[in-house]
Amino acid sequence: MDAALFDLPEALPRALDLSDDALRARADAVAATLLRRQCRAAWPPDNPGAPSTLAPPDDLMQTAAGAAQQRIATAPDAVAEALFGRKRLVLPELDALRVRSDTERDEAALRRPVNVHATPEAVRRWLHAMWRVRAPLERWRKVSLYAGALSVATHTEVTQLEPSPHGRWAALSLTIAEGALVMPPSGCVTLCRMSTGPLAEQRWCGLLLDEWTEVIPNDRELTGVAFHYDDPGAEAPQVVLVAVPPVAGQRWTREVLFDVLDDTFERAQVRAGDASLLGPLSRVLPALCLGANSANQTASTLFTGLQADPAPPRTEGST
Amino acid sequence: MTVSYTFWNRLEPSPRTASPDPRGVSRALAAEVHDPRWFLTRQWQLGELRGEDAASPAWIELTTHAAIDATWRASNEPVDDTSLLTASGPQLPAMPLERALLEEPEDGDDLSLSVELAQTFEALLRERSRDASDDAFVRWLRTRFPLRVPEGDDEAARFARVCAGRSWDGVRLALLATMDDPWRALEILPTDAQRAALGAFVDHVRAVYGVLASAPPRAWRSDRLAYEATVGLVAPRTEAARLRVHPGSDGTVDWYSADATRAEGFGVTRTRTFAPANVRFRGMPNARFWDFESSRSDLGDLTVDLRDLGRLAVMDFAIVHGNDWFMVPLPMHVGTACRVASLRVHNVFGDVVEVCRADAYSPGWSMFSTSAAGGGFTDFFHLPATSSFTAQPGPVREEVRFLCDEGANLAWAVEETVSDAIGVPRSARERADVRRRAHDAAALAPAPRDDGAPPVAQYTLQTDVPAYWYPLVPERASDGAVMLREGVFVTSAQTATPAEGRLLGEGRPLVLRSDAVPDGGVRVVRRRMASRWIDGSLHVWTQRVALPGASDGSSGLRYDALSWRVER
Repeated sequence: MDAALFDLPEALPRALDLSDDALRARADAVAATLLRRQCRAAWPPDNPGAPSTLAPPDDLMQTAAGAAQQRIATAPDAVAEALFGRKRLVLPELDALRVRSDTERDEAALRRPVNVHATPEAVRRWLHAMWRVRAPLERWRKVSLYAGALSVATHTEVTQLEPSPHGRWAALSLTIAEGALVMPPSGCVTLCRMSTGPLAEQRWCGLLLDEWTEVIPNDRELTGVAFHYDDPGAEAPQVVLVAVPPVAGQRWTREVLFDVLDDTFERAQVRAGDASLLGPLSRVLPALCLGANSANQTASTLFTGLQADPAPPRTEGST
Repeated sequence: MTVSYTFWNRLEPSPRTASPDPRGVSRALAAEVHDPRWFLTRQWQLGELRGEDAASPAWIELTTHAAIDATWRASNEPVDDTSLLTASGPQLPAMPLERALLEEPEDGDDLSLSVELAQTFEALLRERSRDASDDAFVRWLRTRFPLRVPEGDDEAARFARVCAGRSWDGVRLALLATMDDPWRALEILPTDAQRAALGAFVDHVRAVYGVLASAPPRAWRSDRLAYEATVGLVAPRTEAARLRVHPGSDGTVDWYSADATRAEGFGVTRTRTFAPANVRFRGMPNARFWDFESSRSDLGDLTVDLRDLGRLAVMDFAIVHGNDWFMVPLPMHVGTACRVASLRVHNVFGDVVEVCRADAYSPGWSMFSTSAAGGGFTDFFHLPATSSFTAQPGPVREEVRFLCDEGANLAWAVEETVSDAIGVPRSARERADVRRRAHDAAALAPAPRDDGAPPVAQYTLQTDVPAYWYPLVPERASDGAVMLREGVFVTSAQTATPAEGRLLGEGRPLVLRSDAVPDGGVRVVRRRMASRWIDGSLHVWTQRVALPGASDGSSGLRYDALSWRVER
């Protein structure tokens, strides 16, 4: 009977007139199938650590059972497929709260579910409101209605993962403290577990029906008024001018100070000069001007031979 | 004597034009410096050392007038000078504006809702008492409000058959519970637990479903396929403004969804001072040359066409005029309107400059101002209590497509999706096919014979159209407007089919203004929406949304048609 639960219909003989030998042969075949499946569940096909199939069946089954038990945690789908002979829907344990490493341990303290003590009436109102909008929850609604009609009780429990201590279900209306609305911490995650049986406290698994994000709007928004105002475009100089009196020992006078400033700005402006800006002075400023004479009557510097040869013109091919 | 002339060859780098340097003008733009004066050079070139007859703003004095959304009326309801202030109804900031204006009463004609409410009442009763008399009371409710079982073998009928006898019609109890003395109507003497359970039941129904009724939304104009409502703003005891609200195509009511039909004086005055800040966007160039800038926006990579006025404006703002724009923060409560009475700039020299509204100089241009119904703009900004950013839509429960059929010279209302008896959206086409097959089976129509007989000509006065297509016949109203009136279309298979959904089923015959069905048609859907509100409360409501249609359609309707068919 137990073997039939593993998708082995031949474990339950339909004909009642089988002989004892035939029944024994069928039982041996079923046992061999189960052992083969258990070995596949325990060790992947390419695992060299698998024991020899020549081992006694009882020992092999015991070893395989232990190995399969260890493998369930890492590959539940593969173990289930091997045991049942075909793919089955496997519900792994919900590990959203499991600490995977030491570095997550501090964070896990904040991720521990908090029982927010939601009243049945509050849960009912919330659930009945949301399953009118969320299509996946509509399916749970139908299951609940059928279950209610058939007198099967359904249970709903609400827990919450809080980035910072809050202790109040985020789906409830806000409370007021010191004249201000108390908002739940941003990133608060509510887990609503629904079951037709009593809910386990620590370990649980199930189907994820739906998930969504809710945003609570502000009662005040920050708008703004923009305006145009002619702001002076002047900016502070980027340099600090350290000036010394032009004549050692001379005291500063207003005129000397202005002269130093004027001279500084004039020299700064000269650095931006090029031919187009200098106008008539472009022949003498800056000093890198080289004279030339068309009749070679003066000392001349000619650049004619310095020009790089231009690239040969491309020949237009005919096609 | 040979004439000669002397000239000078000036050697200078001039990377402003094309040069053999593959980097082009990049060296010039690299702002190389060789001594500290080069820093001043660049500042001088860019005008940073130029003196202007101006002063920087130091602080801003902003005076505003405010008004609050108070209440609303549907546009087809009579409104006089005072009725908006005395109108009954929910206070608007207490719920999203979309729910207040657009909500459709929950239809109680839903078997699953009947069972859901019945089970809810039983649960409320169980939480208050375990007395044996309560079990008897529940059994009595099953006989008093039995569940009706629809005919057929669809999902709704199967659901009803499972629940019939095991549950009862909770909608009827909910409707009865809203009466003044429900127990008198029930003709029983309740226990304390039963009385408390019924009170909690009424609260539950009101909180989750609102009003149970088969009525259209108050603000829905079926002849225009649109909502129209008027929102009144008060400040604080007088009416400050009146807004005509028309939701957008996504069913939300935002600041641009209202036109002011009246704007009076705003009463509440407040003066605040702010420190101004430059208007900037992320990656915007700095006004100062010698400054590190964010590389988020590569303005040099912008390819701007002269016709691309938007990008040109952004470039102009970012590069040229950006440093002359300032902003001050203005916190506003949702559901209020604000009018800027004055904005005074106090600059660092102690002068005060009054800044006028931008549209005072160019009346045809404004930003974020509420439009006036007669054209132009008002001088206030309305921040509606909208759920446009927080609402999540549910699945479409019903959809009707309105389209023009040029071939038949008709318009049509086509029920695409309707909810079945347990509230599940179904394709109207599939439901019509099921009915047609049932009709054919009942009529025992013989199958066409294919024995090689020659086809014969058949005259058809009128071809059939699907049963879920409802004709809209144009007619001229007394005021000269062209209206589309729902007609009766009798097919060969059946008489006129009543509409299954609420959109076409309420207020028949349907009469539409012809401009409500534009070229390309329009789709009207009913869907639920859910949103949290500013007090954390959860609101779920059903509303209608008019969406643009995909295209015109053809019913295939023909008159005086000649066809060939095989004789049966």
